[in-house]
Amino acid sequence: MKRIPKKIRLLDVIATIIDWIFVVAAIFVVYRLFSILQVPDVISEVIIRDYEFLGFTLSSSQVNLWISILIGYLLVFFPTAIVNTKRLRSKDLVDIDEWTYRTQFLYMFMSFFTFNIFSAVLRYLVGMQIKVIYDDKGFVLTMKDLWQSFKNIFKAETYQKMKEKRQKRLEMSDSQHDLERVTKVEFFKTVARLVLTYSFLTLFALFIFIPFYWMIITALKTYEELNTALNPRFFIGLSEMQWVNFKVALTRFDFTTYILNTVYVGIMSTIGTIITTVLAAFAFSRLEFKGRDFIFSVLLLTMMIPGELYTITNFITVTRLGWYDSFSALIFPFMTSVFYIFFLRQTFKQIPDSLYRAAQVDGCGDFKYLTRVMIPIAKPTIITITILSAIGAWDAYIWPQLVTPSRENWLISVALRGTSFTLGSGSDARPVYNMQLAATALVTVPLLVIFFLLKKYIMSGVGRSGTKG
Amino acid sequence: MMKSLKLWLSEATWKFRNFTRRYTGRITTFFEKRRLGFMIHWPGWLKAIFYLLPALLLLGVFTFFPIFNSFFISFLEGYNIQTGEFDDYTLIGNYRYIILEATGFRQAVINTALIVAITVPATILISLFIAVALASVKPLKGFFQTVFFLPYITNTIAIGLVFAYMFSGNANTIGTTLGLANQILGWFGVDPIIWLGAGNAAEGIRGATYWTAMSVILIYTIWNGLAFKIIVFLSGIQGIDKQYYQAAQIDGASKSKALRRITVPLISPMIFYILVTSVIGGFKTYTSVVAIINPEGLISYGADGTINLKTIVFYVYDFIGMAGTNGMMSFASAAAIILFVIILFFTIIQLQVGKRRVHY
Repeated sequence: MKRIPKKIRLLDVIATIIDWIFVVAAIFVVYRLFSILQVPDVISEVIIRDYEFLGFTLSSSQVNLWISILIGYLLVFFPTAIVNTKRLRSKDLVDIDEWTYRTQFLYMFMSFFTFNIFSAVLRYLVGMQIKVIYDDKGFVLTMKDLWQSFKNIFKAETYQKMKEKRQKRLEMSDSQHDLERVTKVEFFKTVARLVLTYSFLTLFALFIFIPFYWMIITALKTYEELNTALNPRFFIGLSEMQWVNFKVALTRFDFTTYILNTVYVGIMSTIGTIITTVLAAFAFSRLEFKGRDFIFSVLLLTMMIPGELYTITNFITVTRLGWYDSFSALIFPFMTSVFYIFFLRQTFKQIPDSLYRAAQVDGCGDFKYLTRVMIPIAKPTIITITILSAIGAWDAYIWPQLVTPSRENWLISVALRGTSFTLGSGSDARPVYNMQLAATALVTVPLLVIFFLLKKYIMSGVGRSGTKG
Repeated sequence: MMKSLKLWLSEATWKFRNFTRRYTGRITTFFEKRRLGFMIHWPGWLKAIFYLLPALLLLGVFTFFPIFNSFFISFLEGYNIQTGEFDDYTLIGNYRYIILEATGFRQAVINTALIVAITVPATILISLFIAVALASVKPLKGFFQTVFFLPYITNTIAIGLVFAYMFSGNANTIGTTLGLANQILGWFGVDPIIWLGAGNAAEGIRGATYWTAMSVILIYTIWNGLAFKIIVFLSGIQGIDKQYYQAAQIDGASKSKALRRITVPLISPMIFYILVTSVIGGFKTYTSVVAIINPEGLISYGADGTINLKTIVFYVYDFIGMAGTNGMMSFASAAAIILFVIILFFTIIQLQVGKRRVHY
């Protein structure tokens, strides 16, 4: 049982902080570069000019190149910085194994090749010291060992040993030979099965992944290329990536507004959902009153009825309330959910009764018990519900499309379908697909980022919702 | 500095608490003397109302009321949604109109049934195989799991547009740009197909047909439906006791037999749950068609004239779109209730079959 001492931990913390500084700097530079990009007047055009940036003169392709490189950098280092922070913040003690220092050396190389020298040096020190603690030998000794084993290959003794082994095998009895052959067949079978399994999985993973890749790669192409190239390219050079397309989608096609609208509606309806469902689930799981089970089973029954039946009357209700074409119509109907009440109740039910009794003895009221005991215990489920509800708001199309006809109230799904990404007008209109897919990517990427940050909660939550339903 | 501030803060909160405690005590005694104790010590039903009120209020307005109201509206004639006035009651008039007289309802039912009949078995089979394969490997499992989960967290409209682009390319230069799907088919020596676009009579290129457009919708629906099912099946398979497989191995059962005789029966509750929910979901297909085709669900420049790809839900929303006209909401309600009856019918059949075939 060996643990990392505090001194090494401190170095680790400093290295992580330096990593974060680099990440933030990269984000800042990307943002600045992105903001100096000039939006063309006609969206099919490509502007080629020189930009002034921090005293340097950069051509358009150089700006594109730098944005691509920095985004690539962020794609690798932002997640690693988060992983490191999580590792350092977590209070559970982890034993050192060989991977503890190997990852540190990996980080060292990664930092070294991205010109992050400070971090690289610190990582080297940390990795070294952990290694010394783990197997009592430093870098030099390890290298010596490696060199020794390398030299052994060319020594006569090794061949002697191999010869002896072969001799032994020849002296084996028939049954032993048979056994060996059977194990060999088994081995080949296993290998064949593994190859088959992995190729099957890879094939379908490609099927799942290609739309995402195609979306990003098309969004970064020029209109010219989409129209003239017979066979679209699968890879494009870093300096050819037209990052300005995203800027056009955000400004010219107003996707900033739509995304902010969706975020606002999503946050409001999610807060509402959490409050109402937590209170209701508490009542159904902890309080005792007449008709509790009856009300709950009526609630469950409504889960079977298709949403179109609600939509019709809700449309009428919303029109009568004067909420037509406003955010209230998008928020209030989605401020509660039978499914989440059911889901949370299941979690609350698992909290032992004795805790409740103990809290009552200590003079803790129901509401205090809910906020101080039950919510902290059920936190993973509540986070899952938050995420699922936010995803629901992000994905909503049918209802927003019905009740918000005017542009300034559009949510992203409606905007994606409703905006005409065309050049020219009338019968001459030509669709500009790179802009459309740039907008699509802008809609898709935030959700992917949230997913990668909170993968654990989302995947376990979805798995559980299926098995218990 | 910070420490003194903290100290001061804790003292202040302590004083505040003392103060409130004293006064709540006084108020309590005041109420209790006048037999108003229930205002302070809430009885169970009052607490329940407090906790349930927000949820029940919203559910009442936006869930319970609509169910009854939609049924009610479907029996009205010439209903005006602004004033709430209507001409007359009719018992089956609206239903009769939807089933017999309205154009395209039969086509909508056929389209929807086709989507359900093809995508539900296909997604369940594929996701079952993927889940079994995922459960049997160790390295890269997390990576594959993450990739297979991606469709679950994407915007249906967004990826639908990407699919439409992948299958059509730049629609304005037909015959020259192909789209990714045709490019991949070309590697296997298949001639390019116009999946969704218009044809070109001068060059003898036929435009999209019903089946090409439908197959794009089917492929997208399958792509979209895999994620959830894989996750559910995988969590089911991982919950199976390893001893069953060891016993099967000792008895000399092959892997495929173990799959058929152990895995599938043991996760049959999950398969059943997925079957029921995805049949329901299939009948409610709407957004994917909107994304792939257009909000009208019609391709006007197909090879054989207009191609109608509306589903039943399209039908309902078409009527809601005309809500300003009197009586349209009644037709919408009637269509939605017919959809509900269809879904209920299939669910009941499945539950009946499930009773016999599912092992709990």
